[in-house]
Amino acid sequence: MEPAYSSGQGGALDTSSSSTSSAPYQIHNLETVAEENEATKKPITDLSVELLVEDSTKSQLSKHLARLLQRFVQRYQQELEISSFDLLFMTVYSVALETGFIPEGHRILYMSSRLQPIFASYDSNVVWLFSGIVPENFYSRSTRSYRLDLHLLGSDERCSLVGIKSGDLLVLTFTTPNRVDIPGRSIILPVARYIPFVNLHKLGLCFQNLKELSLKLKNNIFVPIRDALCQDDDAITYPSLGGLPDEVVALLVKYLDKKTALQLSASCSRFRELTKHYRAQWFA
Amino acid sequence: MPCIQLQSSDGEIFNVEFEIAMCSFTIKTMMVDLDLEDNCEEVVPLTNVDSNILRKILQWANYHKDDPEANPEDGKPVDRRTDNICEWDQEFMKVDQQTLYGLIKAANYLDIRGLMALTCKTVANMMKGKTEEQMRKMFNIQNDLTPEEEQQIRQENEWCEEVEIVAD
Repeated sequence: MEPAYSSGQGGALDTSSSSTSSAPYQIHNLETVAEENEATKKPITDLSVELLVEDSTKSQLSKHLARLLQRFVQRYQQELEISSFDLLFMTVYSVALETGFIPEGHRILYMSSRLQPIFASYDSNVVWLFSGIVPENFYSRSTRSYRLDLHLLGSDERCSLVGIKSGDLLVLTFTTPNRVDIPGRSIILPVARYIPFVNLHKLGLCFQNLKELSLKLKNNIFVPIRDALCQDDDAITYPSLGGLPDEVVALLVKYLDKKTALQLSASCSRFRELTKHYRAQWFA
Repeated sequence: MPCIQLQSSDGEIFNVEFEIAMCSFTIKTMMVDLDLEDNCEEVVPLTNVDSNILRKILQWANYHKDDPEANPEDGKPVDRRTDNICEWDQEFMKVDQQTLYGLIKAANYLDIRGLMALTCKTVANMMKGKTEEQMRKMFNIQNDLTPEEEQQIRQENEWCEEVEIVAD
């Protein structure tokens, strides 16, 4: 039997999953979040510490994934039989948080500039905050699909993460419904490759190949959409090829052979301008 | 071993051996200027570097701490090869694109020349043999050229390549 996840009254934490809803935003002050988070932190001496989903091992999941899954199990285990699809979708959500996406219906407030991000990227305080808030109403029993509305930190553009169960596969699509110019992205995940079995008492044991999963998700769906959204704001400082400062691109071009540099120069006007000097050199 | 505490933009504090932190010319200069070499009780905030990137950088610096120091003013021609990346570095650079560009930006900001060269070489290798369309797709570059401009560039580039053949 397929359980529905929408029985609970989400209350204040309810994310507005219907597009017509005009639920007020829940606002989080990052200063307070950072204070709470810092209370759980110790100075890091061991560099192999599990910061990200991709660092997770059988004995230790990443701090944030472990927190999210624990809360998830607490919240739903009475109601339904938690499947490997559920755990995988939550892992995908955790990777989305690492890439700078946060759930719709929440806003981050920066009281001082100390914690203001320089560019949309990984922020351990933000990930820590949302790994403590389990999403509500994200599963539809009738369509056997998951859906979470997200938005990029610092952008109001709604992004929609949809996961459809198909046999042993989870088909994920990530789109920006209000932006026809940004192509959606999708990826097919064989669930058993990442979660061979479910053991709710030892969550770490359920997972494998998380580094591969995280790389796939970031490179194929989250980072491309993030880059496309950041390009709007003409923000030169987000971490991508287009976001590198001119002097760094100039250094990079020095490592290219002529043919590759010519191809790069043909890709867009900025790279054309930045390779001008080197093109001139070849004729000298 | 004397240590220094570095704080990432998102507030993680890393205890780092002095010697390893010195891979960054920015940190080194600051330590010398502020005369902090004997007294490093204070936490040094790095506002442009998030904890994931800082951790990666420290892993790299730890592995390379015994490398001979590159002297930028010894007048040797700068190494332009991209096929001389050691095995550990190749494994180290198997990261997602967000981390890759985060590393380049941080290496630039912290002025870590070895890491700058490694990251640039890695991107150069990713680009090698790709057409402009493949590059746009791979690196999420938005094409802002008009069809006329594209045509013009194509002609120019063809001409460039012909010049090469004649010159050979």
